[in-house]
Amino acid sequence: MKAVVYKGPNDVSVEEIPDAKIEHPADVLVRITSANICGSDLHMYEGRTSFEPGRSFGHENLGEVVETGPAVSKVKVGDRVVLPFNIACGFCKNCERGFTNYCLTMQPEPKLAGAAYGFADMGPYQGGQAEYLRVP
Amino acid sequence: MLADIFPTGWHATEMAGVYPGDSVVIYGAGPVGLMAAYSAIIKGAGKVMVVDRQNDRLKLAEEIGAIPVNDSEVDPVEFVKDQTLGFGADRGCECVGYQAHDPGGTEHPNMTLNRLVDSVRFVGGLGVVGVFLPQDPGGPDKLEQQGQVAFDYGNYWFKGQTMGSGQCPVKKYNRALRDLIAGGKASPSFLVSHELPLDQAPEGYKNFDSREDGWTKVVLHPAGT
Ligand SMILES: [Zn+2]
Ligand SMILES: [Zn+2]
Repeated sequence: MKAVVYKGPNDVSVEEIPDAKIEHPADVLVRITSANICGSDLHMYEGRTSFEPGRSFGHENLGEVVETGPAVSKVKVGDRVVLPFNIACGFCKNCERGFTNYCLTMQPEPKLAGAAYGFADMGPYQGGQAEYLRVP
Repeated sequence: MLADIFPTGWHATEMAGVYPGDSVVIYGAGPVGLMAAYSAIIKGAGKVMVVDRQNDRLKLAEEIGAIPVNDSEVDPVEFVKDQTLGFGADRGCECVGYQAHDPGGTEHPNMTLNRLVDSVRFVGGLGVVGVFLPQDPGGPDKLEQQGQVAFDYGNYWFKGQTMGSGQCPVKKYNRALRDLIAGGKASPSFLVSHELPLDQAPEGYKNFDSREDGWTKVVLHPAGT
């Protein structure tokens, strides 16, 4: 699939990367219809973060559900969805208190909290400036 | 808009404690700053002042009913005090972050934070959603490289202000904000300037990053329009 890939400071290109796919039973796969460029993308674009070259940007994503994992019950194929930029579990200590911006489950680094799509220091997740997005 | 910027702008006003009638100063008229201004207006703020120096962005701020303040022409702190009987605004939002810079382009990571403290009244509330980082190896000085900012803490403490900071928990607000849009009470898409196919993303980044006139918000459409 095509995606906006960060090459280095002030350099992005639209390239083929491996297709997004369901990786966990609770995942949903979304065909992206709109993905905005954000001011926080610009910090990364300018090389002023630890964002790794080769990863894709995009955390302001809208689209249509094209596939759901076997553990997904509410969201259906064909639903039009807008995705919070935060990736959160909903059941950790912080999520339970409403702080889905500091989820402890979806951030793999134990010293950090919070996860997001295509974002420096917010987990390994790809961005939505692409044809498809895996939504954990 | 509901994935980030509208909830994030709303969150800034929540952390600042915006209440009907309040005077509110907002630093930054980028997408998040404009959404914070829009949120404050929806909440019934009495006066909303937006500080920036990009005329296209200030024009949008004016169109939604805020007072534009061009900090390359006036001292924004003095302007806000003049507008608030000398007291300073009731609430303030920081929507710029660590790459705040003067009109000459030199970065001062503490610039908007200290102006915020200075232009908000005693016991006022501050909401900081502009990005600051624990390390910034490319920063302009040693302090900033270690993620530290020369913050006017004395002034902040002396004034008894409170500050909220950090990223927005989008799910706290997005259902309500969606219903505001669906109910015809909010149209945050007023700031979208460009809708491009995915292939034109490099052009979008380049123009948005260099603050080209009229490039206020870029939406990419990977599946075509
Ligand atoms: Zn964003
Ligand atoms: Zn969680």
